Amino acid sequence: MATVYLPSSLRRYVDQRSTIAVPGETVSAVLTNLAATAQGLHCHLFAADKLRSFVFVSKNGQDIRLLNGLETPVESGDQIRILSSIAGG
Amino acid sequence: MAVQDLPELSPSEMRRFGRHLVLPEFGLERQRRLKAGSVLLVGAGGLGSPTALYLAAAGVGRIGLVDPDVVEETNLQRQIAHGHSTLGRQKTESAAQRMRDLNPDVVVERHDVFLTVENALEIIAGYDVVVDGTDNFPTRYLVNDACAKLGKPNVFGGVLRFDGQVSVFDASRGPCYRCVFPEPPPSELAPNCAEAGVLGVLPGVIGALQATEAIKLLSGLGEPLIGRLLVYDGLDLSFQTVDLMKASGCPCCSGRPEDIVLRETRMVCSAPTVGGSLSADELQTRLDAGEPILLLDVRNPPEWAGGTIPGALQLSKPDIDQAVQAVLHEGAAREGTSLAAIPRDRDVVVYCQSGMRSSAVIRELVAAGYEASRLLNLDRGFSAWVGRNT
Ligand SMILES: [Zn+2]
Repeated sequence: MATVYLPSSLRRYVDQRSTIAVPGETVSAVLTNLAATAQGLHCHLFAADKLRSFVFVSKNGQDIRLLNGLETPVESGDQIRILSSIAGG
Repeated sequence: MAVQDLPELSPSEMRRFGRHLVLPEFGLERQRRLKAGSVLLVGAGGLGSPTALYLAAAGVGRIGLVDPDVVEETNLQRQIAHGHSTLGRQKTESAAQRMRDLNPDVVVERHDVFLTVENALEIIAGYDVVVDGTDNFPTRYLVNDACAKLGKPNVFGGVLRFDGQVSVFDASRGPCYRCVFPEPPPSELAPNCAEAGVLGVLPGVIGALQATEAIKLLSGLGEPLIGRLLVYDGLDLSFQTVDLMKASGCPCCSGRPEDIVLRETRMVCSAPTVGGSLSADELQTRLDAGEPILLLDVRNPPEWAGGTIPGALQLSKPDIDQAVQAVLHEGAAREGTSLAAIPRDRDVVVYCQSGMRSSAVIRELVAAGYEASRLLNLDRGFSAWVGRNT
């Protein structure tokens, strides 16, 4: 189980929780499993199975692109953070 | 700049900045570097207010403010550089007055304009550090690209609801904004603060952090937040930093800076199409003729309370965003959402306060299956209607 952290704009899909435990052996599997539990979340994260270009994902404080992208392996206890770009000022 | 070329401090500056001067890490030389330095604040609103005040107070020599707007009452929940005494005045003028009150020696340069592809390079070139405190994606991408081209550090801050983000994008030393977020979200997934709300103190927290980074960059103090994104969560009250990557295929900074071409970024809905538009006069004419038009007011309840066009259906843009998302991305039937109240067999005149949100709503409705020819945007929105009827 990885701990997935969601920004406040996406918490309405998960009962307003900031973190949720999700199974999966890769970042891709974790995000897919997360999206499967919350209808509506999928479209925020993926477009044609690719991560959307305004969604940022890190594992244990590192951009997953510094690791192995969506195929980055995930172990129990890893922290996956989802961020959306925000433009308010 | 060599130490001997830095400007001297006057006796009053020595007194005013005494608390900096006693910091051994800061001292006289860094204070003189602040005095020699310049910062451009893009946006004098929620984020720009605290940064403008703190940078002026800290002794930055020259500060430019870019903002075309005037102070409105709805700003005062968070834009603390302004006040009731400056309602209706230019934000740059209002902020400049407070900045000079804190530090009479600060040089404030006002740019009462939108930053555009045409003027961005000329304005930004005149400053050492840029602070991005704008309220929209197109300007953020423009600031990023212009800074990357000119080799200027861009102190980025963004806020929405309870969330904030801060980074220093310096393409010569690390990633840029487009390395992290290559493109803006489609408009139905990207509400702004007017639509989604913002806790008033949030831009204070984030703007103060941006001011910290600007002071560090100018004075050479500490480690700038380059290659890292600071994420603030006001609900959990947590700060996290994540390491960023400079993207090898970045559409902005992967080539030579001089080859970067500034382009206008357009916010698009998943299916970009627009309907027509009409003026407040034309609307009045059609209403007088008894045409069966539906008026759709997509502003928020507090705005409705301040007046509306009689007979208008009130459905806020966030409600419509959510319904369109459900239809487009979650397989919901249109009739099962709030869109059911919007007919498809009549002309619908959509309006907000200024005409911006309503044109986004029209694009979304078209994406959700409405005929573009049936959707009309009221030019300049409720403001134009009020102007016509007063
Ligand atoms: Zn880049």
